Amino acid sequence: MLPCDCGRERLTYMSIQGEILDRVARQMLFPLIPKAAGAIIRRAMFVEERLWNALISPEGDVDWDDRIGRLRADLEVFVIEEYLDPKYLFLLYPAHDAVWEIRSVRDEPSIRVLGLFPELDIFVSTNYALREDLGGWQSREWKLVKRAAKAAWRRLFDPYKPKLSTIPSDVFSGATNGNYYKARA
Amino acid sequence: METTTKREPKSARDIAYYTQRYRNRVFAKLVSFVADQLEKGGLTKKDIAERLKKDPAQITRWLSQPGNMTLDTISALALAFDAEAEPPDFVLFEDRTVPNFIHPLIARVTQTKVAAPKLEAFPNSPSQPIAGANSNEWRVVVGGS
Repeated sequence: MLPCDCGRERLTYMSIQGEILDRVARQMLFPLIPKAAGAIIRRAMFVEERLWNALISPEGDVDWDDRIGRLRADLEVFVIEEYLDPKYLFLLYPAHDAVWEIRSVRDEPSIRVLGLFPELDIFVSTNYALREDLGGWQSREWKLVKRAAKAAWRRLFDPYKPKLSTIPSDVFSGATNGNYYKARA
Repeated sequence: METTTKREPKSARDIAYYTQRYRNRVFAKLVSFVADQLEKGGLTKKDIAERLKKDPAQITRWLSQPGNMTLDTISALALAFDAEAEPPDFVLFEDRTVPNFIHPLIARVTQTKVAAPKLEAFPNSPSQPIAGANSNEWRVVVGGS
């Protein structure tokens, strides 16, 4: 709050980037920086606490370590690769929710990381789920996980809205040709 | 670097990470090459399939996920365009150069962080180290930016 000419305090708003920096400082979000030295950081990804805790969880279980190592590499594709493919990054139905998924499919269990774009080339991962737990596209579980993504966004950034578009180049650079969104009846 | 460091076993997580990272990077390069060639015209996926005596669905599968890719498929796909893949380069971590681009917001974030440990393993690291690049430990400077 800042003093106003009228004698009262007025609300001031940070830019969305300022909000993100604030959430990072408060450890509500964690920037995903490539583990491999020297990698180009083309785009920015910020990860919510639960996923971050999974990424940095103590090592020990070989299967878990293998899956988490691969998940991290898959997430870093968004950060480092010049081109992105709809089989990797996909806008979920309904489009007006602006919730996207990143698919990490190798090896089992397949993982879906959900998130939204505050700005071009900035992705905020809000939650994740195992694909096997979600069932069919119209399932209650899918609805719940998408709802959780929106709720996490609101918790982090309300009243800011995510970037909303079905055109991939509006939200990230380097989209290859393909169908990034399927409208459903 | 001490000699003992070189004898330490690599963690399963690091092995999986670098395996998948390499697979993703090669796959991205392959998909980009094929997309580029298809865009330049001349060949379609159906043509590729015919040239390689494969089912078109197989070509789609090859290009759909890094998991479907082997050295044989890379070679075959390149050959369909009258090309071949060069063998990979090997780079020591200690020889890695500083990234020539960092997203502006990440650059701002890294300036709000205290340097992560173990950066001495990367002598070419920038003067303002990228926190978290080599460690999962994060410490936040009060106030952020």
